[in-house]
Amino acid sequence: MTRITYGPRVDYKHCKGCARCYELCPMDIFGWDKAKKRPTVAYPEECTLCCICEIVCPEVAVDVHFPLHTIVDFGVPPKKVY
Amino acid sequence: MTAKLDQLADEVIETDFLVLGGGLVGLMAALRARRNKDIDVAIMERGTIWYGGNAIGFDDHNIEYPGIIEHPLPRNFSPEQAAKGEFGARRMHNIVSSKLAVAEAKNYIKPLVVLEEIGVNIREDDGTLKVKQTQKIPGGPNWHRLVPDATGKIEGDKVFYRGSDVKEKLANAVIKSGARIFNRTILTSLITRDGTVVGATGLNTRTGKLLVFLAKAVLVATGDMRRLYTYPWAPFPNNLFLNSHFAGTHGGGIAAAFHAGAKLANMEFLQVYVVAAGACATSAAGAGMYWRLQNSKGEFLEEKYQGGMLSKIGGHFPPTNFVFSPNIDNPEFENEVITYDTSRATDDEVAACYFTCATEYPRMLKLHKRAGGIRKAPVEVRVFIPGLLSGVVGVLNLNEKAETSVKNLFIAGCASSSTGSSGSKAMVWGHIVGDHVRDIISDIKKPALRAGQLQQVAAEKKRLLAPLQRKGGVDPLELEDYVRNINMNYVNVRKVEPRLKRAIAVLQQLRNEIVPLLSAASPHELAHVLEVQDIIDISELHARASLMRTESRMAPSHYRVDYPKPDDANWASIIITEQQIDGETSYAREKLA
Repeated sequence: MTRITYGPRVDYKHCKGCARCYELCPMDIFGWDKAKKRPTVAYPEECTLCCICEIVCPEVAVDVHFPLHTIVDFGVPPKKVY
Repeated sequence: MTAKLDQLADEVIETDFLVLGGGLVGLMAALRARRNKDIDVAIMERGTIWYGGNAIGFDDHNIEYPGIIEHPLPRNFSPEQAAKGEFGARRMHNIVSSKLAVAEAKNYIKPLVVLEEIGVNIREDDGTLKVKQTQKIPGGPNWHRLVPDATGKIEGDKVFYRGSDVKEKLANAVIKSGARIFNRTILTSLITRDGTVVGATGLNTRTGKLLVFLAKAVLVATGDMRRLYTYPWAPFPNNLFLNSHFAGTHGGGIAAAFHAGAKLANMEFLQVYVVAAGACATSAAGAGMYWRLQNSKGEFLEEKYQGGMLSKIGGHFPPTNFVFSPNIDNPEFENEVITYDTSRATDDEVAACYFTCATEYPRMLKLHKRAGGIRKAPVEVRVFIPGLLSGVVGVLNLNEKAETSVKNLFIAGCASSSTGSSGSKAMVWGHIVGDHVRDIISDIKKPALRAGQLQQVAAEKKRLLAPLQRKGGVDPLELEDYVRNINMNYVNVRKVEPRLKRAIAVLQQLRNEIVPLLSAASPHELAHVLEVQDIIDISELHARASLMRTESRMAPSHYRVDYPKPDDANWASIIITEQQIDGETSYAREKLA
């Protein structure tokens, strides 16, 4: 499969491993790294872009990236994203 | 028998009331049933009850469609008024029973009482409801813009509250009530005995454990069918999961109820929306809801096509009608680039749009922010099919108690063929079922299992686990993409007999030849294997019902190129139902009660 560039990205500098994204994602696209006690993005291709993970993260450590077609069609300047 | 069941299942859960789906319907029903603490309630939810279902985002308690509930809403309503059920009801679309509309109207305000009890703020400082007034969009039967008309006339009300708060507060109230919660568990089948539902099987999508539930009564509240068509501008696999609604609801409860013998109805009717390009979102974008649609010449479509052919036919969603005008075979959108225009938007409408973005579509808020705000350059609108006509298509709701044709099986919300969808109506029907089950549960005997039910569970376990043992088979998402392309290319808005027949033939081939080759490497992928089988079954029912209805009704919801006009002599108040008994599917034309 082509490398997926959209979906949630976790900023591990700020993530404290509370697991709210892992527990609350409606599509269950996060995995859990038991050794590091941090979430992973296991199934980014199944992200519906609902952004619940962003909303529930107390550290504002999750950022949902949009697919290319979304950015261009909606009129978001690409430089603001990429 | 239960001992033998223990050997088959990883966990056996005995309960009084099993709720399938932890969305607004399921949680409201569970909360109402648990008002009697002697009733044990279990909830099975594919995601989590905090953010499961369509109510990941919603902001409404709509009194905005005269198709169902008559205005006005009393601004100082009380629980006593709610109990009386003082609202009048009208019939919807001529494809659902007016009895259901009456039942809904009588109960319409009751969920607001519950929401207040659990701490949802629905009132202004002076104690009146937080209401926005709306006007009907000219030429459309039931859609409203969020302002009174030029003369100050009000035709609808919309009670505002924050959707995500409602869902979280409901979930916490349900947990506090003592209901047992089974998150990350996908429904795989219903267990029946002699035409009565006695339980269900579920698969934990993280652990792969098979859960068997035994229950006196079961509510299907699994939502609608959002995985039949695709947003064609998105590349695979984003096209499978980007939807104007919640793409997690694939119709699993509808398929399970069908296989258990429940009647389905209205499977031919599409939901056809216009969405903001890229975002694939409706109300938050304002596409056709708050804003006016405009073509490249600067013509406003609602003015250009008021009283046009499609609005006379009476489509479900007026902004879509304008996009499809003047003629569904030569529509505006194929010859033009259509955008939504925010230049005439009032400050109230802009504020309401941001509110809706924040509650219904967080992604829209983010996109608007990055693109420079709502009043920036126009965004293109596109036609999109988010699924079948929500809340009108699905398991047939037989009566005001939300019973189905399977004994002790109830249906509510977007999975039902009932009075339509939306968060507010979902909670109304959840309330109805929860109260009803609380009243009758003591009269229902504890389900006893016999050899037949054990065989059902054993066969289900074999079906479930086989793809895990298969190496190098077909990826379920690849198959889902193909199935949804069949719907896009052979069914879609412009339905015609040869292509519908071809769709049915290909779907049958996929079921017989490809489904046995599906493989999964984890319980998470296994859930997709189960989903795609339901999607194939539902797609075939959709194509067959579309083939049977030899007329057009509510175009573009159901438009037959070979039968382009409504045929009231043969089809008014007639619904097509499907029922599966002993593996055989029968189709019937039924007159609405």
